[in-house]
Amino acid sequence: MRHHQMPHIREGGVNVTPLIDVVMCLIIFFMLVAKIGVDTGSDKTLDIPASFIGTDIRDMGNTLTLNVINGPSGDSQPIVTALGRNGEMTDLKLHDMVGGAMRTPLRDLLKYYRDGDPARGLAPNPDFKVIIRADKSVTYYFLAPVLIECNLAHVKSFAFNTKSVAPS
Amino acid sequence: MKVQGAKKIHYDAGPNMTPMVDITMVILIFFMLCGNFLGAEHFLVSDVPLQANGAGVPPPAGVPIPTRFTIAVRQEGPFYVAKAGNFASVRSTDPKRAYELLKDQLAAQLASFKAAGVKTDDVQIIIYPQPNVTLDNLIPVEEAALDAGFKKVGFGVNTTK
Repeated sequence: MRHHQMPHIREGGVNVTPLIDVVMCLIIFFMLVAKIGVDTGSDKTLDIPASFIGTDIRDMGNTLTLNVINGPSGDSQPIVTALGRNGEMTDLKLHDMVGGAMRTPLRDLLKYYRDGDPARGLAPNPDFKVIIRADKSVTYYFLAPVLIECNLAHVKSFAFNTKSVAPS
Repeated sequence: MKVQGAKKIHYDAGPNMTPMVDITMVILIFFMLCGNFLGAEHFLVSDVPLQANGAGVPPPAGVPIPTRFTIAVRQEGPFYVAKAGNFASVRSTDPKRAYELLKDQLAAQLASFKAAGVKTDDVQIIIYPQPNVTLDNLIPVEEAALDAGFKKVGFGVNTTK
């Protein structure tokens, strides 16, 4: 009579299946929560203020991040940088004189994103928001002109970018 | 006499997973190092149009004038002072402490608005800081107002110098 044998237990090394399961889960997690390759124009060197409460802005496509630091002493203008129309970081003056004519680069850029540009195929965006990423040492003396420019460009909503801290 | 050798080990346990594990580990480490994760930063949103003397957009015709009050913020040496009408006044050297005090006072005011039948969603708070107030000391005031339950918090600016 022929006897059935138990199958051989294979000793071909470490079972890596659980490892792959866990690693795959981690990769999917990181792919979902990480924002890679998206340049919002945020200056990461700025020491932004902390806040206990705050919200996440899900639709960052409708936003423009303005990096603001105090201007030089004796000057009424802060130093503002943001992603310009060409997609590169641009230094934006609030107002300057070029050839005897007054220019308002920051307001013009805000209007460009807010009102659109038919020549470039950019549609008006009434939901356009401004994110102000200002150093915590920025005084209201330098911050107020930026807010005024936002107002004059008909930007209805702005938000301060803050570090998230847990309330003690 | 036949000597029995060691038992043969089977290596045919399926496909070779080593390259796959290598690649997935590299991807994992890449994400961990390069990822800009959610949650580390957030935003304090202000939806109210700025109150600016001589600048800004007038409200559309027919829009009722909302209930609004202002919070004046100033720094007096080491002291941090925030004052809203005759119902909220805070003077502290610690902005965090000021935030907690102001939040309680504003929450009490909101409750009194509700008790008086005011539609609290329409109440606007305008924060008027002095020019020397830094953003670090300004954020606690906005936070206190939002945390107290007010929906519309904005900043006042004065263009007449």
